Order: sequence, then C-alpha cells, then structure tokens
Amino acid sequence: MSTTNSRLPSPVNDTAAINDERWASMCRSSIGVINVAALAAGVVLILDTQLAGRAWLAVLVFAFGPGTGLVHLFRNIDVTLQWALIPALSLACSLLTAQILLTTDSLGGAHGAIVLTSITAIGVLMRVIGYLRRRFVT
Amino acid sequence: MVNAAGRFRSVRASKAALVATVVGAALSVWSVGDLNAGRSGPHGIIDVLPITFFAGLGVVLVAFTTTLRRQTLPHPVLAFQLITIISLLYGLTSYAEDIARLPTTWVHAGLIEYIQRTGAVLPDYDARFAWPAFFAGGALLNDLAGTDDSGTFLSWAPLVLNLTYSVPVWTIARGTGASARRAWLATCLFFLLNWVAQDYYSPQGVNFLFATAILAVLIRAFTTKSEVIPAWIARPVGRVLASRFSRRARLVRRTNLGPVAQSEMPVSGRQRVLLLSAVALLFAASVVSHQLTPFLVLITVIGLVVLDRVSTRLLPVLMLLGVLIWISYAASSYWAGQLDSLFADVGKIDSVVNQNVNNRVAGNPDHKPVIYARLALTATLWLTAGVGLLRLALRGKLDVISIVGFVAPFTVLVGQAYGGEALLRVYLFALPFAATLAAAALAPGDGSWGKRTTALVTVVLLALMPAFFLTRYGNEAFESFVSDELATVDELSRIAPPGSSLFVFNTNVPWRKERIEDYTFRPLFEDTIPANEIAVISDALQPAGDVGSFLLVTTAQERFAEIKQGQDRGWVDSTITKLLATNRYRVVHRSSDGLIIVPAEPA
Repeated sequence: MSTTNSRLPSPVNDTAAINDERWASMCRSSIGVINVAALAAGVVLILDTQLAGRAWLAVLVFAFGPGTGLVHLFRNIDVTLQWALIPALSLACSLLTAQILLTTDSLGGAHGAIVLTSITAIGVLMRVIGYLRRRFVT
Repeated sequence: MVNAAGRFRSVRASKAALVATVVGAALSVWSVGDLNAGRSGPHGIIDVLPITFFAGLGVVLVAFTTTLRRQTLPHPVLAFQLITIISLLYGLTSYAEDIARLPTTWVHAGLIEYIQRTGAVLPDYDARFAWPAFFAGGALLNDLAGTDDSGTFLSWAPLVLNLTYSVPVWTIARGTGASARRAWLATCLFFLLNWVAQDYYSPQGVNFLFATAILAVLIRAFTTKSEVIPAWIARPVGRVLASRFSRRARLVRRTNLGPVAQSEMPVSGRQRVLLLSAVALLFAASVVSHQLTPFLVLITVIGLVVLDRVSTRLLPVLMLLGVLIWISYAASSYWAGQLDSLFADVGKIDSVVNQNVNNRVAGNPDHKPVIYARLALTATLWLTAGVGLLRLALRGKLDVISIVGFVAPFTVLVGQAYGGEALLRVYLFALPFAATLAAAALAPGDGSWGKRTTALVTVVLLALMPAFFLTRYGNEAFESFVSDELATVDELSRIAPPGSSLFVFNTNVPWRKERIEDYTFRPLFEDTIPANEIAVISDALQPAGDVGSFLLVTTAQERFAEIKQGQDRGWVDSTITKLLATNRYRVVHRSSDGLIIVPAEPA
C-alpha cells in the first residue's frame, strides 16, 4: 500500500513509510487470522455441530471465508485492494454456489458448507505449501 | 531519521484519539439503551434520539478530523474511528429496534423461505425470482446457520454491508488520484451521505458491494497511461475545430484531464489474469442476482474504456454477453409478455424525474421537511462535487475516472423500468465518486491540513450528522416495526387457511415472510385513500368458499396513513369502528399493535 507523498521532506516520508508498512503488515496478518477462523468455522458447519453462535459462524464462512482463501492467490497486490475484494469475492462465491446448487436441485447446508470451506482452505493450504517450500526447498 | 520526541508525540496523539473515539461511542450507545423507535414522529427517528447520542457521535467525528489533520496519518486509528462512525450510523436501528425495519426486507425473507423450504423458485410469482442467486444465497445462509428464520440477518445486514463497502470506497477514492488523507475523508462523507437505504438485506445491497469492488480493481490495477484525450477522438475533433483545438489543448494541458500517477499500481501479467478472473466472478454473481447493477457497472466500464482510462478493452463486450445470456436464458420467463411495461419508461426522463421527485413530495406537512432535506442534501452534494471537480481541474489533479464514475450512472435514467426507485440507485452508484469530488472541494491539497481546512471539514461533518438521521431514518415512524406487529402477522399465518386473501391498508407490514404461495396479498389503499373507504373494504373482504378474507391492521400502517397519505390522527380507529358497526365483520385477534378482522358470515 502506498500512501507516502514524494513531495514531502524525507523525515516525514520515513515516518509515513514505516507507518504504511506497519499498516500493510497488520492488514495482511488480519487476512490470515480471518482465513484460519473461517476455515475452522467451516469445519464446524460441515460437522453440523449445534452451537449457540452458529448463525455468526455461518456469516463468517459465507461473507469472509472464500474471499480470504482466494486473495491469497494475488497476495502481492495492494493490501487494501485485497481487503476490498475479500467480502465481495466471498459473497460472490456464496451466491454462485447457491445458484448452482439451486439449478442442480441440491441446495442445502451440507453441500454449501463443503464448497465454501474448500475455497476457504485454499489460503491455508497455500500458506502451508509456502512455508514447506521455504523450509525445505530453499 | 525520526526523532524519539516526535514518535512519542505521535503515539500520545493516537492514544488521545482512540480514547476520545471510545468515550464518544460509549456515550452514544449508552444514550440509546432505552430508545423506542416506535415513538418516532413525522421527522423520523430524529424526533426520539437524545441529544447525548449526537454529542457522542460528534466527539467521534471531531476526533476523526483531528486525526486526519496530522502530518503522518495513523491508518489503524483512522480505520478504528471509521468503523466506529459506521457502526453508530448504521447499527443504531439494528441495536435499538425490536425487529428488522423496512417492509421489503420481510418480503425478501419470504422469497428466501420459499427457496429454503422447496429448493426451487416460483418463476411467475415475482420478477425477483428471475434473478434468484441472492435469495438462494439467503436460503443457503439459513441452512448453514441451522435456522429457517432470517430475522437476525435482516436486522444486522445494513451494518455488515456498510462495513464491507468501506474498503472498496476508499480504494476507489485512491484510484481517482486522491491522497490517502482525502480518501479517508471521502469515505467518511460517503457514509454520512448514504441516506437512500438500499443497503438492507437485498440483492441491490450485496450488488453495490460487487459493483464497487469491480470498479476498485479496474481503476487501481488496470488504468492506462493514456493520452489526455484518446487520439481517435482528438484527431477528427481537431480537424473540424482546427482553430479552436489549440486553445482547447492548452486548457486540457493546464487542467491535466488525464491519468494521475498516484492511482497506478504495478501488477504482473499473472496478477492481471487473476484479477480479471476476480472481476469476472464478481460480475457473474451480479448478473444472476440483480436486474439493474450489471447495467450500471457496464455503463461505467464502457465509459472508462472509451476514454482510454482502463486497458481491458474486451471486458465490456464480455460483460454485455454475460448479461444477454442470462436475460435470454434464465430471465426470459420474466420479460416475455411484459415488454410493453419494461420499455414504458424508455426515453421518458421527465416522467422518471416526476416519479422520483414530485410524487415523493406528498403527505402530512410535518413530514415534508424530511423530503425537502433529502432533495436539498442530494442537490448540495452534486453541486459540491462539481466544485471539487473544478478545483481539482484547476490544480491539474483531475482524473477523468472521477467524471465517468459520477456521470455514468445517470444514463440509466434514459432506459429503465424501475420507476420511482431509479434516482435512488443513481444517487447510490454515483456516491463513491461524488463523495470523493466533494472531499476535494473541501480539501483539495494532498498535504496536511491547515486550521481553516480542518475547521471547514469539522463543521461540514458535524452538520451532516443530524442531516443523515433526518434523511435516512425520516420514515422510521412507519418503516420500523415492533415485535407485537410481527406476532400479529404470525397469528394471521396460523389462522388463515391456504388460498386465503390477506388484505392490508398499505404494505407497511412485516408480512409475506413465509408460505407466500399459499396466500394472495393485497394492499387496499397503497397510493391514496378514497372517500368511500368502507365500501372498498367491504367489496374486498368477501367470504370465498372454503377459504377466507382477512384484514390485517397494524400500527405502522396507521402511521403511514397519517404521515404519508395525509389522513387525520385516529383515522384507522374510526374506520375500524365504522366497519365493525356494519355487523358484517368480527375481530379474531387484537393486541396492542395489531388487529385481524374477518367477515362475520361463516366461511
């Protein structure tokens, strides 16, 4: 994310750059945390566990899960653009999944939870693969 | 190097801003603990909101502008403050009201309930079933949540949706060349000016997110370093206007009506492919879930491509193809046989404006300030955006993206079948760009603000605070419901056999939320109330064989009749009394906020 102004004196730009990098790092970390939380919530929904806050777990999977999984594919772009895409991609995946399940007469929570959780898992899987490659290949 | 004293001052300022935000928010939340929106008057919720609520929100807004004034912007603090502002503006009714507001949101719950129960749609029942993805998604969400009641989601949808809009709106502002400071201000203005309330549990609420995300991607990652005016436009124009062209070119050079370097973001070839796939996914979801949004996105994208500001030239063609395929394949059951009504408004801009403006200025004189405030706020925003456009142009900072984004939505007014709703959609879709331009009118520079700019921004934000509650929640007296009204609707569902006709005075009822195929739903006086209302009711409420007719009267309907339809206070009570005096009807259910009447003869 670039928020510095090249016309300002350099001490200000130093502070701004440090500030921006911290902010971008925070945003990236939050995406990872939400991705893992959504994956865990998706597993709970697949197992059909009855919990008091199940409605909000469903919202987490539905509105944030697939997006946090998919943005990992373009993790090098501006982190605010990633955040702009997360809920939009999640809801798009959820609506298209529902539409396909509706068209194929198989609309139901079990199928939906499996599809959405699988897309959410892309983020975690790619992180694990990235870690293993860094650890053992390079 | 940054010295330690400066860093200490910065941390101290951030802490002070956070404390002020938390204290202000706590004061606002505490003051609406026992708010009764049901007591809202003709000016809406502003009639019952305590002054302490505004004081708390005012503190948060002042803290926000103070933070924005700092030389180095603390983005986490600003993000926290913006989330707090959005929560106070849009979470108020979710927190303080018994059940979800707006009758249409309950209709959507009914469409979702049907799909969840049957796993199919009713093609001829409602046009919305021709774009069913949102409702299928709602059914899926209910299934995931293990419930068949959308109530919780209906209540909290406005807050959740507005929180999701914040980042795309910020990104769009940055994409038009605004500095981070101006982008924060534009985003705050967006939320203080979004009075049109299209962000409820609805296809358009979700589709606005898709639209802003698509535009955010295109104008952040696919902008071109094009010429000021594309050559294919400039050359012929130049030939025709040979003498004037040089003057125009000088003006254009001076105002720099071209790309602003700040908006460009480097992306690799692989990222371009992935981002375009994301855009395709978002647009596909939009095409299958809403009638109007794909066209609004398409028009804006065409504008950006024609003016050479977005490099994906094939994209509008593919988008148009997607829309046509869906309309020809899945939505044909909707438009076949309705072509006359669909094209009735095409080209009739005066009629559309009349439906959108003149027809709304009606009803109780006490309610008219709300309508005038909406018109004034809209006009002021568009005028301020024009000033911002001019100020940016004169500073050589105007990007044509802002003009396209602001103007393109208006073109749907020419050819649409949305009647009175169209101008609301136009306002909403132009709002991210209008707010960005308005922010430029207030603070056109990129650097930190001086005292005058800070004072001006603070005054504007504080003035917009009551204006927001007056315009957005001005209909709260009849658009909000209490749980007793919902209980009356549930009782009606319990006692009315399938095939019954359910009548209401007007549609300000939380009804049609379940078993929609079992009943015929009929409002008696949706537009105006005739002088012979008893005769109209008597004609409608006829016993019909094994099934019956039911008249459902609730408090919100009564308020609508008084505030919007200009009836005297107590009109509903006197009408019910006259109706019962005929001895042809009897009351089968009565509670504090609801009444069910049936014909006295055995069905």
